[in-house]
Amino acid sequence: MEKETLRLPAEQLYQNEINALIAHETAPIPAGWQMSPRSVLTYICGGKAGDTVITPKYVGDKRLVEICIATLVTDRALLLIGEPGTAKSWLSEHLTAAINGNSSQVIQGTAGTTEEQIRYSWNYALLLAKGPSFEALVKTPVYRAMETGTIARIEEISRCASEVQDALISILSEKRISVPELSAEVAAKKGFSVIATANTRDKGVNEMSAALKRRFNIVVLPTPADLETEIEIVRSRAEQMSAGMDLHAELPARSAFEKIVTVFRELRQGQSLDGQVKVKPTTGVLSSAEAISLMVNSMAMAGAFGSGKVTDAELASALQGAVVKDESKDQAAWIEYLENVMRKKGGEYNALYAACRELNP
Amino acid sequence: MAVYFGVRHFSPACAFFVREFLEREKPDVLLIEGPSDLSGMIAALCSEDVRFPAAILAYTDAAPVRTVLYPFADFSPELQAMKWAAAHGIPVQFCDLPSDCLLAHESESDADGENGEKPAGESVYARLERVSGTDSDTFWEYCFEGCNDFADFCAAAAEYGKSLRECSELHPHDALREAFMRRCIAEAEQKYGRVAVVTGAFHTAALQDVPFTNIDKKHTDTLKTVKSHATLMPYSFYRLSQRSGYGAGSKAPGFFEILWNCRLRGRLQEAAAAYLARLAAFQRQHGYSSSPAEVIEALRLADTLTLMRGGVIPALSDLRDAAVTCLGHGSFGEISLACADVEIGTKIGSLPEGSVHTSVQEDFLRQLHDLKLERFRTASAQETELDLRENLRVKSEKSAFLDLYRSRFLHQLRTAGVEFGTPVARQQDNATWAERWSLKWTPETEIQLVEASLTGDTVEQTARAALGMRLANANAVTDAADVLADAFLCGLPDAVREAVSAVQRMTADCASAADAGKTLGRLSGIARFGSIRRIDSSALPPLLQQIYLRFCLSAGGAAVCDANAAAELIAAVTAVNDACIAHDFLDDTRFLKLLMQFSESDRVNALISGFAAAILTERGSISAEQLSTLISRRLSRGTPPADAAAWFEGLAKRNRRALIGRLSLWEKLCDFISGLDDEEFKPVLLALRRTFSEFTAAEKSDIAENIGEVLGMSGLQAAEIVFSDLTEDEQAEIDALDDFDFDGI
Repeated sequence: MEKETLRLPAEQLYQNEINALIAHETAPIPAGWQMSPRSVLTYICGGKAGDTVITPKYVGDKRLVEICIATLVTDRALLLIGEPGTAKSWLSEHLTAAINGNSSQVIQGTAGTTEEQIRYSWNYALLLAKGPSFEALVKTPVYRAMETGTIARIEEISRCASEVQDALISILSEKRISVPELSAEVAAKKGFSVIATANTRDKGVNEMSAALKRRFNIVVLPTPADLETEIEIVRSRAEQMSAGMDLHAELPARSAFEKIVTVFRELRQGQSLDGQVKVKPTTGVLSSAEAISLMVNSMAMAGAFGSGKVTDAELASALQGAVVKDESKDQAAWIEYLENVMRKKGGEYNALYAACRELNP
Repeated sequence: MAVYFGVRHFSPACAFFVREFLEREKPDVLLIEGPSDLSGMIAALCSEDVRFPAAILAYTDAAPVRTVLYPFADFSPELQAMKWAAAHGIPVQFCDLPSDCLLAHESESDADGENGEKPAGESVYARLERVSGTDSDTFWEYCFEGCNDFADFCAAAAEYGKSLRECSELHPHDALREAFMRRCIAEAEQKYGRVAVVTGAFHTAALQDVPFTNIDKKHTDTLKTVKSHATLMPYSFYRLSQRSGYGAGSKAPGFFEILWNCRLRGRLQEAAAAYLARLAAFQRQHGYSSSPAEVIEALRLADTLTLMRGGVIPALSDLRDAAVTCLGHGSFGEISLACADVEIGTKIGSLPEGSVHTSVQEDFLRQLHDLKLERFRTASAQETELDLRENLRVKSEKSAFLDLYRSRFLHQLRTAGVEFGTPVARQQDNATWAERWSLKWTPETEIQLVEASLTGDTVEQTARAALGMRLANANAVTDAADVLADAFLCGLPDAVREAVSAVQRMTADCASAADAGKTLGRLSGIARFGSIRRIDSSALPPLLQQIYLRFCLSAGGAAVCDANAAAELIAAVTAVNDACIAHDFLDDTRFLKLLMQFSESDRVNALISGFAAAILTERGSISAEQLSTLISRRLSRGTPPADAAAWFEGLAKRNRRALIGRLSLWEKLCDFISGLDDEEFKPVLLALRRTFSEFTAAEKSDIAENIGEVLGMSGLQAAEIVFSDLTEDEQAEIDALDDFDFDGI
């Protein structure tokens, strides 16, 4: 059964580590948690529990993880914001896995999410047959989290309509859900909290109200801090993905990854890696996730239509597609980048530069 | 018999406990780490009239000026110790090497180059950070600033100093200083009896229970010295924060002042709330909403973070993290100004009148003498003329470039905000090798010099600081370009470098085509004549190339605009054209292509189209046939008359002679005008009048001749009509045009 599952939840995947941490617990444990805040930190950032090595789950600023955990200790809700592909959902999953041993209380925010999915809904067959009762109540993840004193996750909260977001306000401030149909009120047990994630690129889709924002502690997750880390992330993920997909192409050399990640980082940060040249950023999202799919796409292209090897020409056309999203603005910025930065790099970049220039006369 | 108290400079906890230490020990004399020859300044420093921060400044009197600085704030342990001693009538002395000897060491290590000082391997602070998992400042705050018990504090501080010492290499200069301190202590013991010694914790371990020996005596009998002066000077929190090195400065004087005040009131735990509340108050004052609820949440988060990280009261880094999360909604950018204001603060110290004699004043007088400008130090304005070129008739380099050095000096003063010289406009504007200055000395100049000393120790440093400040506040790329130009005039290569990178950054960020063109024009001049000021201008060509590229890429969109914007863009195009001609490294195909696009397009403002055609003609990039096709098309009936007139106005802005000689142009213009009806003619007349008003009389008469030929008159007849005064009727009709609705023409 487990073998056929495409993806196991974090608490099952890292069962050993969680057990080891719980076994070696020395610090006091907050109500509703299964381990101390320090152990949660070790679980996320790596370390040791007795003899068991704990693998790092999040490579990045440890202080940010500390802030996240401290927020949950103070029973505040946590909002993780970041560009696509900055491990927001990943972090939220592992936090709940470590704190509750249960990362499955998730609501996926979409334009179609309704208020009932946040609070509760009814089993209408039962409702019609027996009238309103607790059996006929369909509990949402948030409802269950309140009952059990655990943490509920809400993904992509900024994609929900504002009335759905507003439903959260009373839950977060009163820490109770009222069920008027049963003249009852369900109060949250200690340990209840919410981790929400939101995408910076969705800003303005459904702007979060100030009232809701106020109820969250907001942590902005940055893109990977240094070039080497990001190359490693992109490379290993591209390797994993391509292995599963039978692309008939070789994994490109490390230098290809380095080129793409360098270009992405420079455009994203708005300056060259050495900090000497300022670059105009483009409108598209240039996240690590985007870089991974760019590499996998070029491999698919090379496998299906080319020689099976990813060349600079394929990289150039993939880059063109990734970078120039808005013809009028992005192309000027892209040419500026090619002329001011890439041309001056020389060496390995010459061929890529030439291929890119061909696409932008 | 001596007792020791090791401190960390600018630590409120140390400042607090040192008083208790003295109270308990009741020494007969107090020794403090500081230049021993400057003990005389202690009394002035402890005076009631001094408002801190203030500093003792020692400086050499020969160029290049070296300085050593001993800044004090209210929460300096050294200052609190001095004040205690002054209040109890106990003698106080400094016990470090004399200032002239410290200055001699400064000069030497400067000569060694920057790498001379750096110890090999990991520094003790880096090691501390690796072992403790917190940065060394936070470590100190957790362990010491939160401490409330005197005995605990002393024991911990002693251990800290000892460990620091065991884990780091001792620099020979420090060994000499400590030998000297031991000597002072031994002498003081003999003279007074019970000695209290307040030094950096690092040194305490080497002084305590280490007797003064003959080796120390031999070491300290002969000391290298240079001639020097010393003064008290007002200081600022901002400048304290700029000196980040251990001992000389404090990263967050504003925050430590909060800690100090809370500690004095015995309510240390309130410091966190005070810090966060001030941040919120600043945010509210500047138009952000920051509610008390957010402050409460931030405080709770900070407390939890501190607990998790193993501290007692929140350290600055915890407070910052909490503030970013709750007040800044996740982004530091939102509260960065508030943080700067609360953590650093704007506090400036003051000293009683007449007690300040700063190194900037000294430097000013010395340079005045060196540059033979002393005769201008009078209250009446005098003018002087400078020739910046090398004087080949003299031998020494100094006199060969005397005028250049004078010019740099005067520009530095002007930039630093000291009104001594004002540049006077010259007739020949382009002579970059000559300058005319009007010089005048007033009492205000003296005050401005003292004010300038808050930002640097020499005239050059203050000028650099002023440029840095302007650069930080620059909003547009043109502002940054102005700073770059001034940095060039001041002869400050590192300021030039900074300004170059700022211009580069702002060009990529936000430069409009008009700004880019203007900047290019400004910098092109510097690149062309930079060599005369003998400053490395190699950074400029790549920068110019970038700005040029930016202009070419953004001008296409900017050219579809109204008349006001068109005038700006035309100025920019002119500047870029001049730069292209002046510099080979600018590849002008891109520019000419752009102009061609302007000239062809009907969407582009007609004035710009015409101007582009004019430049293309001038540069020989379009043939006579192409131009005449253009003229026919632009002046044909299909074109709106106002546009046609504007186009002609643009065309006539350049190379008029060539246009006048082109008879076919005037034929077409005549056809165009005679084809207009009365209503259409009015706006066209306006544009044409404007166009021709810029022509000289001789040009006008040539045009008249041309027109005469087209209309079949002799040149003389035509000229008579053109130059005759307007009749009353005509004047009235033209006046009537004043009421004409120009509709954006």
